[in-house]
Amino acid sequence: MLKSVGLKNLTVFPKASFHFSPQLNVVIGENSTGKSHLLRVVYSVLAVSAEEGRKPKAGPPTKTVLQVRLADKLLAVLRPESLGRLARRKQGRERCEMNFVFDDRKLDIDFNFATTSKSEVGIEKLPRIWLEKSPVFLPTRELLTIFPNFVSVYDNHYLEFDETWRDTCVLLGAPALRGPKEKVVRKLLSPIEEVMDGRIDLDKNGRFYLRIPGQGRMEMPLVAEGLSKLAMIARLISTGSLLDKGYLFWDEPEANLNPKLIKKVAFTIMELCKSGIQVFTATHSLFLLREFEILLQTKAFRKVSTKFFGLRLEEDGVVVKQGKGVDDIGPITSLDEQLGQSDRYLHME
Amino acid sequence: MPAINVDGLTFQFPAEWKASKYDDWSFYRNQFQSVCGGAKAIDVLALSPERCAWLIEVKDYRVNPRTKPTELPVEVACKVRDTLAALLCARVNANDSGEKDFAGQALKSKSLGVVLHLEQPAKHSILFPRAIDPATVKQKLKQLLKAVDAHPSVLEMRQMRGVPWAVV
Repeated sequence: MLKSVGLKNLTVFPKASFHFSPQLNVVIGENSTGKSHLLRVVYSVLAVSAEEGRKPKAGPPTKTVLQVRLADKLLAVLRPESLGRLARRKQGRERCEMNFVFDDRKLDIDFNFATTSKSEVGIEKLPRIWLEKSPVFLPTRELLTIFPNFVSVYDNHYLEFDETWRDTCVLLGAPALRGPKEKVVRKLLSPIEEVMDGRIDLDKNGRFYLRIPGQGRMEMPLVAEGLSKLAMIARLISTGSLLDKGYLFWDEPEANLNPKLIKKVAFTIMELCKSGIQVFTATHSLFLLREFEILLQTKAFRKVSTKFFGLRLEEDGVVVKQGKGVDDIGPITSLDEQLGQSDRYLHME
Repeated sequence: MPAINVDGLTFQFPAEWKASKYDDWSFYRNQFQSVCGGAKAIDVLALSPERCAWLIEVKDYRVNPRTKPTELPVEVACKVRDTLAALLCARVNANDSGEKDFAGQALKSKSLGVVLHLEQPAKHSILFPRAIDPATVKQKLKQLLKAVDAHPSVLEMRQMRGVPWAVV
């Protein structure tokens, strides 16, 4: 579990520290306040650790490996023209510094890079172990329709897609779990499958299908985008990526979903938190925030620990206000805008 | 049964309650209103036998759409703040003994409740079934009044959410 992240001079953040909940973390802010940057940077660091640890004959972390791999991953996930572009610019040279603290302190890492850095970061604190579980990053659009052959095309050609697409496709292609964990998987999957009216299957031909009882199977491009997003979650649960500890980064879960499905997404996120997944999500949706608030009052989710982060652009960059409730993070633009809309509506002739 | 009329709406409280139209208090009108260049007042103060002090502000957009919805939460929150500050002063300095006693009892409260009684504008449409979304106003009030009442209510005649008083 990730406990906190400290950032100095990263893109829009002059200085910020984030103290995370072990379960639900929600980032709120207008466009250009760094929500996606935050999610992507944290994901990149976790992903590097998991990727290195997964390698056959992986030794313990070394500076030589990490200084290159972290730089590569940040470049691949955030896609700046050079690493130094991620460092916040003032006059002259600046260094971007980041420190990550985990509940298992052996995973802690501190690193930095300068505005002139191209392909390496400097490691200040070296972790002693690798992360066991791969983090999952869900971009704003679904990936099941583009899944067939995406990884091999990505690896063999230069594509302007960021690497989270590739990483998530790799996880989607993993085989479904068998054995004792199947029962836990079924419990988590059944509410999602109820919404989808079927099950998600990976065919031998490399394509995903929605298998609807009594109606056969439907190819993913014909399935509504909203349902495909839920289907991604279902697949990642059945393959074990979102099961029994793990990390989920979900940027704007509400994108392309109608309120009926947003309600189900909120429920699914809560269930994942409860099952031990640390969730990081960024949203613009007042509807989703309210669903969280309603669910958190229910007996089933009352004990889910939450942390909300409000990002706000001020003169010297983005400032962060954080708290356990949505009321602790300062003004919420969507609330103000909704009242502003009432003003305009009432003044219409 | 204590009954208070605010702009044509009658608030009927249970017999064992005490209620008063605070913004008509002579202490407020003659003494407190000018504090710091202008103090505001909520409409109704009601004290329950369980010693909860309810601060009730009434906005009836059917007849009086004066306040812009964007300004509504801050206006209510400031009225609550000013009224709470006035209660101690009224207990000590009020010339009217009834007001002085009422303020004294209010200050013995064990809990505080903030209520915005919001009657919706007559204007509505499919996309604006309620022109001023009560949930939005409530959430803004929660942010502004956390230290007073972490769960303020936004009520209307057709949605009284089980409070012990009635509005007709």
